[in-house]
Amino acid sequence: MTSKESIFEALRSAKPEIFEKPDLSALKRDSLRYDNLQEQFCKALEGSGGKAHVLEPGEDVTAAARALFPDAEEISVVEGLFGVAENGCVYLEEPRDVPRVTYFISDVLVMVIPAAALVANMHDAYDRLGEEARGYGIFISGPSKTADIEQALVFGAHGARSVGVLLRP
Amino acid sequence: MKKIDYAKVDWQDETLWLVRGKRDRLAKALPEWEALRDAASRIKLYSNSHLPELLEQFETRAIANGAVVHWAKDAAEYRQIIGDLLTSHGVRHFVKSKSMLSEECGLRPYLESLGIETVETDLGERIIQLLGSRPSHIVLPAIHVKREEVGALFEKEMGTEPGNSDPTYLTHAARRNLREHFLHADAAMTGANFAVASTGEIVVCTNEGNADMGTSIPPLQIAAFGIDKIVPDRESLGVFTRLLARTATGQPITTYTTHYSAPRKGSEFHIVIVDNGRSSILADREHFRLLNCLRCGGCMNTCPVYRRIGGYAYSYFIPGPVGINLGMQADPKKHKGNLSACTLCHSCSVLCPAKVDLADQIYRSRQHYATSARKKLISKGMTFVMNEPWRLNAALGVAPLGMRVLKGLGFSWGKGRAFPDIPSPKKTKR
Repeated sequence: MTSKESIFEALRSAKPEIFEKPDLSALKRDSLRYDNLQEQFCKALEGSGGKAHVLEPGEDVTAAARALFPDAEEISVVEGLFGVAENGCVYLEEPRDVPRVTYFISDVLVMVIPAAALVANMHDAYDRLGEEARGYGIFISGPSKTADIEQALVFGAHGARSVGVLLRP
Repeated sequence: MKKIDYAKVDWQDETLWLVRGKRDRLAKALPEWEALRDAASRIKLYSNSHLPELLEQFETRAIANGAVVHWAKDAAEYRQIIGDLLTSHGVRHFVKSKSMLSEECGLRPYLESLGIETVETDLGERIIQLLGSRPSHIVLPAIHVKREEVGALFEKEMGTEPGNSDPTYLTHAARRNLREHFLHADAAMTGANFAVASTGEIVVCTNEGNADMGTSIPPLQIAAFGIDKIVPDRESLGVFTRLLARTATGQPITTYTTHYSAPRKGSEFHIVIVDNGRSSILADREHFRLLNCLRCGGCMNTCPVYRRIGGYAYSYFIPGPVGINLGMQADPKKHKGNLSACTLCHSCSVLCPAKVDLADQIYRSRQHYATSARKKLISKGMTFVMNEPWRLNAALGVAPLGMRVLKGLGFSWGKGRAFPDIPSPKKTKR
């Protein structure tokens, strides 16, 4: 018997009480909504230690990123797919032109998303992603952080020390 | 007897209570909080009662995504699969992120016996590894270590300035030091917070980005998880990602929530699915809800006993309410002493995001295991005394004297506590 077979054998002979899959539609429908997604997104992002800026039509992305972090020596600017208002996170997939590690090894990371691409919460976020395998996907909310030394919050544990999000009109 | 550092006890109690407070504020901000907990519990009950089909579905999808799937029925198989993978790929330097499963299965000592340098990359776990110690909390592994101790440790291990124990300074020193390990690693490993059957992906939640940094560089990535980490679909991730960090650390979500399904270009992705006793928990009618656990650590932060005694007071490697119960499943003879570390206040059960009946399980285990010959004798004695009013009154009459004798003898369980003054008994009539 392979290990898989013996695990399955043990699971079947456990004869657990059977529970049905719950319907989440009421929960999703009744979850907290926001009057202004953009305002909530910016507030949540700042709460997680990040900075937000809404681009003017025609405003230069690089200049706006520099303006967010004037002291930064180097800034990585990457494209995200959408943002989540309840927690300020941005969803990204495998980057096209740079290695994946760019998301983490950069001291300053700026993510650009369409201002219209904001969802209220994680239910909406996963509904947007659907059930297809996507290879790689990540939600990032603010800079890397730790509180492992006496619960003192420190930014820049391993990943970016500073994170900004530009909302493109 | 070891001297108790009361200042440290108070600090830990207050600090964990602050984490609990942050959780409360976030939970109260969501009117749907209780509906979320209910959904999480029901999804887990569904998943754990449909494991064969969901695991089968996960494996099919994971293979289609390009991952290699391995099955381990116990800790020895888990260690061997990972050891063989690393040796067959010629791995000398190995970085790993926090995984309770790896602690459960004794991975690091095994790999070190094979000559593979294994570096914990979560800051708290790294501190613990360098101290040669073990985690005292599953989410905040170094909660019991003071900054001065970290300063002295990093001075020795990383050459930081003597006497500098500033958390920012020390964290950034560890960042520089661990970055060297990341850049030279031959393989990286993570656990999994969730394994999604519909997509064959695993989800890893961290704040530091250590798992992400680790898996983004080397040509070999390993993810290992217990069968209870299976969730049916992405829709259910919406529920769990909203609950996990809010309960664990009082954040709306972890900084990084990463979904891995396909191997990164030019690398291999191996997934190890582990039973190691979980199928036996499933078969236990009184304890199967333990498999609902998300390993958020929330029950530790709220437990009035854990907050004061800390993780090392428990014999099992996972402490607190969930650790008491998991220990009883792993080896009841060895871990039944932990059952005493509970006041049955039920705070853990009320808080648990997946509604594990933690306190009720402890109560039930006590009925089976917490009866020693001495306790039976005490119980018999009490019955004898209390069945007759005159016996009770006589006993109360001599009690003040008994207290003075006990105080004089300096009984250890009285340290740090006030002895009660027992009033003279009123005569009661039958």
